Amino acid sequence: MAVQLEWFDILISSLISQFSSYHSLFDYSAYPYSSYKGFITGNVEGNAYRQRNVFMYPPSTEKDCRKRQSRNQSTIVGQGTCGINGNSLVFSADQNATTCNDNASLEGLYWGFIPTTTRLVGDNALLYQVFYPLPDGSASLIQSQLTTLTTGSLRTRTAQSFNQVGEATSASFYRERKVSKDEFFKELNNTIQSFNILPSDLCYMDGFTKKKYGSSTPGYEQCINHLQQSFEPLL
Amino acid sequence: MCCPEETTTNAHLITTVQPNDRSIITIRSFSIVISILLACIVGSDQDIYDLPQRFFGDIKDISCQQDTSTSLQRDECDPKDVVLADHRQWRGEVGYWLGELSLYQSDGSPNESADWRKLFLFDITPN
Repeated sequence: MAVQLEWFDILISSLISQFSSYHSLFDYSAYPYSSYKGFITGNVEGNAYRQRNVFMYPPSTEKDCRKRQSRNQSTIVGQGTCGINGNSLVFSADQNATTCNDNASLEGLYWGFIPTTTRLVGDNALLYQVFYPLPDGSASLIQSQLTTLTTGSLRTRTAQSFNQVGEATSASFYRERKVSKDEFFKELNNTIQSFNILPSDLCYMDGFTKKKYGSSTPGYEQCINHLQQSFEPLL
Repeated sequence: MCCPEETTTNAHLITTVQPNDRSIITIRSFSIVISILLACIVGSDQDIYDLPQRFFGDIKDISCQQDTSTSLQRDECDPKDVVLADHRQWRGEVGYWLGELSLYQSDGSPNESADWRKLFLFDITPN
């Protein structure tokens, strides 16, 4: 499903954090979102779909670091230095077909209360939509994402995000290509190096909960284990 | 894949067929009348509405494509039996993907420093 949950996750988790403890919130706005990299694995087994993501963010520019400092905004998350070190987040998505409808569409609740649907469109696209549940029982569309597979190894994802009165708030543009396992992990290594991500910040943070991911020591191995989960047999 | 033959009823026909598909209505209504007569003559204990499906299966398919939201159709399917890999899009999801990612603000400009706190109506900036 081309679950582009990352941005939506940040929105929702920020809301959740607001109502729990603001201090648990990690400010990933300290990193540039104009251009970053995604490492995504996906797999289907029966009626189940799994996706595991690692997103890597380059260091902020020195100019942006100064600007954020002058505004008294946080400039870094983790152990690095603003303008020098990038960072990473991990995301997970598991979905099962919960209803039997036209053609293997998925419906379900994300995080237990957020309705989502994934519908096949034609024979080369999927439409993933996320709704914000309203007190009167209706729902407000907050994300609509189309994934188009143009070839067997190229797909493009564009997501529109909306606020609760239907105004567009952002749009994402993900250009993705399917590669071999070897190329995938080679590029993962290259990005870690070029973004200068410290081992202590590598696959350390769960992008949704904004808490430490997993029980293992953060680092490259943790990234591999996370990404490979897509291919582990379902119990 | 989820268009059970047994669930079509008159009510279903009325709700699913579009106004410009009067010909389908006519043919299907005719087929139901035929099937009632056949059921009476043959004495079959089958649901009389099964018979038009056997005779006019292609029409049933058209109707099924028009309506994908009717619960009558879904009730006959077990979600556990869905095989995602039967569909090209789901098969396409399998594997290792590298992504070049960008985010844009509501005015179309690149989001150099994402401030998700402004994306919702209420301000969650701490006091």
